[in-house]
Amino acid sequence: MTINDFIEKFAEAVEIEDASALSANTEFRKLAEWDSLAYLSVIALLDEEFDVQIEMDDFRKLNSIQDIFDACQKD
Amino acid sequence: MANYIYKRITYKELKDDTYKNAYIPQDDKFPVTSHLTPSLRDALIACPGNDDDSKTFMNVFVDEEGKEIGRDFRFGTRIKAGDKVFKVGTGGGFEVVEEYRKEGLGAELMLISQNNKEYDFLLYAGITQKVLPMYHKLKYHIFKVPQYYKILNSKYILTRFALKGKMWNLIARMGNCAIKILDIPNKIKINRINQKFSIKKETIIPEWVSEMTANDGHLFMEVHDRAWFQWNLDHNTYGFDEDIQSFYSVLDKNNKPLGFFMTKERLIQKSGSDKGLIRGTIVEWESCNKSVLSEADINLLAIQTFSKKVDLIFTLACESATANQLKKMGFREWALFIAGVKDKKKQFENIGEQNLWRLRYGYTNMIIL
Repeated sequence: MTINDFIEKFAEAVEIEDASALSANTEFRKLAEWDSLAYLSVIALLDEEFDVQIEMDDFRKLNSIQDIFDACQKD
Repeated sequence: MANYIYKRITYKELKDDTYKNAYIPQDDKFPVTSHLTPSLRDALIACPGNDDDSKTFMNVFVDEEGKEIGRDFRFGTRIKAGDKVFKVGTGGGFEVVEEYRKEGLGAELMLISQNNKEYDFLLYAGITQKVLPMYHKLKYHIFKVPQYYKILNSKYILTRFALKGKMWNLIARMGNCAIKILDIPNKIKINRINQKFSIKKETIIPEWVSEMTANDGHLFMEVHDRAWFQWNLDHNTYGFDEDIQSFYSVLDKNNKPLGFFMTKERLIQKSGSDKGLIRGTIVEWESCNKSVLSEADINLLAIQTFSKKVDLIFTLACESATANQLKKMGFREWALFIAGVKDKKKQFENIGEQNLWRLRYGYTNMIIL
């Protein structure tokens, strides 16, 4: 999966209509749509699509969409 | 990103009173002001579902100054699946300070409970529409039961719509006269069923209650046995004078038990349009012979037991035949009552089938709150 594919999936999970507004460097916590439900949606996305479970402490250190994508690759 | 840390507080710390060193409560931030009341502490310590002091009493997030910014309480309960009983985790008091909600702290709290290995099953009740999508995301099986309410005092309308003044008080009195007139058919029905059954208020829960609930015919249920009922009869969250809970046996004319019901009355003290009202709820009930004593009969028997201070009462229609009868009694539909179960190890394929569950309003923390 490329970073662009991941951004599409991220946008779908967080319910952002226009994925083109996002980039790899987007700081996801600053998005208007970011809240607890978005958080759980991303956790569910990582679990279902990548079979990756990121510890909460590790997730807290992530800032950008690229960081999440990289964390999936590392696992 | 704001800095905060997670702390897990155990039942041992709650019992030893050492939990107070772990965080500074946010007295004015939460609607559940001063949430850990002495009454709630006593209730949680006495909970029959708690069997291990090393288990979690509270998950709490604190900010850099040690102030509590998010938390939930945990306690144990049990479910019966067929002839087996399983320990189950549940909880309540889930709150996150508003400015931290954007951080996803609520999600973290839910994930902590989900990933905690203390229990293989999780069960919650009273799930609101607002947080329901989060339970869906976490793949809970969701149950929805029609909930009904009946106004006993037109003060409810005045309070709800902030109507004040002598004229409105006069209208309210006239409204109460109308409520009494509209209730005449119920009084007639109550008199009729009072000739068939008698009710007895209990302070010690009878032994037969455990068997009656366990054998009601459903495959799955939260275990509501004698010990569980006694715990709920003896405790509540705030200990206000208005907060009372009552248990009644329903007996036939030979004093043989046919069923029971349990009610609670609670002063609504959360800020909002209902503040200051007293809400009554029929939280639990059972009949050993539904053709003799129906769910609707039990509701009728229960209505007459609420104190005069109660402004409105709530009940659930767990059987399909009950809803129409409740409407005839003057009940109106309210939002759905929502409960959810998570079978973490996927031990039961059919655990998500609502019709296999014995569901009651008085599930998990809903009964002591």
